[in-house]
Amino acid sequence: MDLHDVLEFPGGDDFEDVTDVFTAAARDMRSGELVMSDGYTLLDTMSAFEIGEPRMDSGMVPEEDRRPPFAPIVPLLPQEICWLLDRSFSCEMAWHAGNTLSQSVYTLLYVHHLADISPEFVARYVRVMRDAERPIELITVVLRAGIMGLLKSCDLARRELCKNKVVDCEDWQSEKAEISLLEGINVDYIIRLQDDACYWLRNSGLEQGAIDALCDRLLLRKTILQLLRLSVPSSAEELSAFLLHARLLLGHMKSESLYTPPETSLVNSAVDPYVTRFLHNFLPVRKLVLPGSDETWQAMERWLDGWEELGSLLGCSYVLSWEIAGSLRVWTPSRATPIAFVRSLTQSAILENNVFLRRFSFQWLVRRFYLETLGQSYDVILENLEEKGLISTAQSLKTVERLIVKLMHNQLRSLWYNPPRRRRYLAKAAFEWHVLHDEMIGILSETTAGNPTETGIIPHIELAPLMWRLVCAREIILSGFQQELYSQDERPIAYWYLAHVLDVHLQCLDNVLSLEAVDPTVHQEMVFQHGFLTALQAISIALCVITFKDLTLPWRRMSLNFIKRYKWTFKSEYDDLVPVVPPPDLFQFAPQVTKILQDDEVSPSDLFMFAREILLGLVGPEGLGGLSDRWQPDRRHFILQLANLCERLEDGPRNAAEILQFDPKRFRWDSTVHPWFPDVISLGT
Amino acid sequence: MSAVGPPDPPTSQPESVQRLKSLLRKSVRVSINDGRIFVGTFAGTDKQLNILLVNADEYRIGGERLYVNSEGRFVGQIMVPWRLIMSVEAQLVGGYTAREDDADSDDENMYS
Repeated sequence: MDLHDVLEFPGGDDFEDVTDVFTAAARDMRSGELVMSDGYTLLDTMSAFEIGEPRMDSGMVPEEDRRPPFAPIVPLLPQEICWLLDRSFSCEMAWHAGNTLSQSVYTLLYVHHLADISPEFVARYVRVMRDAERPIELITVVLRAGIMGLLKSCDLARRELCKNKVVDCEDWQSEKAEISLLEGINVDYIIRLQDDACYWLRNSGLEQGAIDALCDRLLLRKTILQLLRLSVPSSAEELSAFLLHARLLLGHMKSESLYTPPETSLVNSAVDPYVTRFLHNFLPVRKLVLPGSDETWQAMERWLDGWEELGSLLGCSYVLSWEIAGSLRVWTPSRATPIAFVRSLTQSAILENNVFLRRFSFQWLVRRFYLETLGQSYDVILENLEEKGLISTAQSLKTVERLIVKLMHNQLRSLWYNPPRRRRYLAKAAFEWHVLHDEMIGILSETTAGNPTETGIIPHIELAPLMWRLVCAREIILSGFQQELYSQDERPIAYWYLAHVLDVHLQCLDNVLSLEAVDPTVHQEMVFQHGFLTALQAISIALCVITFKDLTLPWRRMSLNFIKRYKWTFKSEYDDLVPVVPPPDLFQFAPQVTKILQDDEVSPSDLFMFAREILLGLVGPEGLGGLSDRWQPDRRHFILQLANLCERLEDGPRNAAEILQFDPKRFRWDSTVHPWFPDVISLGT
Repeated sequence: MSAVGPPDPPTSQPESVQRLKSLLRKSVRVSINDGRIFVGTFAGTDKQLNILLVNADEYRIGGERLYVNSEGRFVGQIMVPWRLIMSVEAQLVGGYTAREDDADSDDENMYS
């Protein structure tokens, strides 16, 4: 303890030692006696954090972890600085992956010593000797620029994440433990620091390989800052240029041989995985193993991919292209959910400052709703409605438009929620689409009153919200498989209800396809959807009848489970609206499946084959791109995977007798193989 | 803390216990063996001398530099076992020390 410490003894000087008072009282207290302030009880003491208990004491440093104090101005070799800069990217990626800043970014101790390594203050360290191999500017200029760039990147990302489009503690960790992320410093200044550091390096006389490696890292940091500064990119060219540059730099860095500092290197003292003990955290946070270099570069590439996909999405002129791109990503098990930042930014691009997809108005979204769902122009629909006395329903139309805008943009946004939250959202949205459906039926009954033989688009407009509701219902049921929510007894019921949902959807599409679509691409998309949903329905029916015999629960238990699992269709609010289609009527389940099983013509194997033929037709030479846009190869891949699965499932039972003999263990639901349907495995002998 | 129920009200308390009681609701500074110091309001203890502090701040001194939070770290309500404690100090209030034998000081009455 030095004089400095004594002078700053916490609490001040007016304290007096009372240790003896405690020991004397302890001797005289009776067993079990408590000395407590008024109002304090034994129960209150239970909520106190116990010091010295590792699970509760967030500031405890065990003997084996004690280390000498960190000295920020210790000269380091260029490769050690390079290692620290690489680590700064690893920390950043670890935070973006959902860990706390305390576990990741703050473990780089220079983060807490920026003032100490500022070139303006370095004169304080007069004892530092000049060392040609370890110039102090590597710390005060190069490393400082990198660390400040890291903090500013976190600040800019945090600003996006704080927009409440992703959920704190669910998608990311907002806790910053009262540490500055350089919120008050202009990003342009920090970008300039990267350039200044590169300039110093190029004139430093260090070995060229080291200069190149350090400059690559600084320039990558600069490019990340430039990308983050764009927020929702307004210029595709600018975004592409930054992404190209970042990928080029990443390519250089990936090709370098990996440097790991020896255990004796002083650079190791700059990293403290237990720094959280000194930060404002109430609970101990576990030590995090940071991703290695390869993992970090992969994570950064995925980050850049996210930006690139957003750039492509912003170039799309169809709303459904966003829906297709998002759905394909959600459905494809091999594609990891993008980091929260990308998901938040994509949602910001969907709607920010009352502008859709960065350039469109509310009215545009309403028009696209009718055009892309029904294939019809909203102007024509309005003209038709006007002919039928629109004036009396103007208010209803406004309500309908408001609901369309709200539901459409939230439906798109939900594709960038985390999967469980998306499922919860869809359960709510299914009801809201039904409200819109009900509202439209209200308008129809006014406009088509007394004319049951009405033709043209008007009788079909109510199908648009109905179809979106059916999309919600389908996704809720299917995501239940993907998230492994269903027990064995629930699967046949899920496939049975899914088949009904798809049946109604196909009827809607039949009706809509009977009208001539204004836009041929939209028509193509509808035809694609019709084929895809037909295949899904065939697979669902086949799986329902195969798994039906595995039901073990009594009816009472099964019906209670059904009401709980499908509570989104049983809301009491539905009672005041038009009936839900398809009705969630479990009484129909067993009779309908039994009837299918009694039909000698029905063969699950043939149903799988039927589905496969449809799917292959969708991606064949005359396959339809529809609105899949840049995601056509992804969609093709997904459809082909499903077709391959169908081919394997064709080995399943061919008739009712074989269904009874089929060993249910041969089906394996593995969301990494297929999100919704089981694979057939051979059990061996 | 011991989980034993509250004992019968004492007819008369030893002087040492009364002196300890006079420290209740006073600001105390507890130093423990890993170099940390806790400054908080003394809220209670038991015969084993598990000391309960509320509104406590944690400071590091000596072996560990205060390199992150020089203002201390708020840790709220804590219980410090006696086995870790090196010393306990109480704040003098206007020259009034804990040694003065008056458990019912104005300071305490203010809260009762």
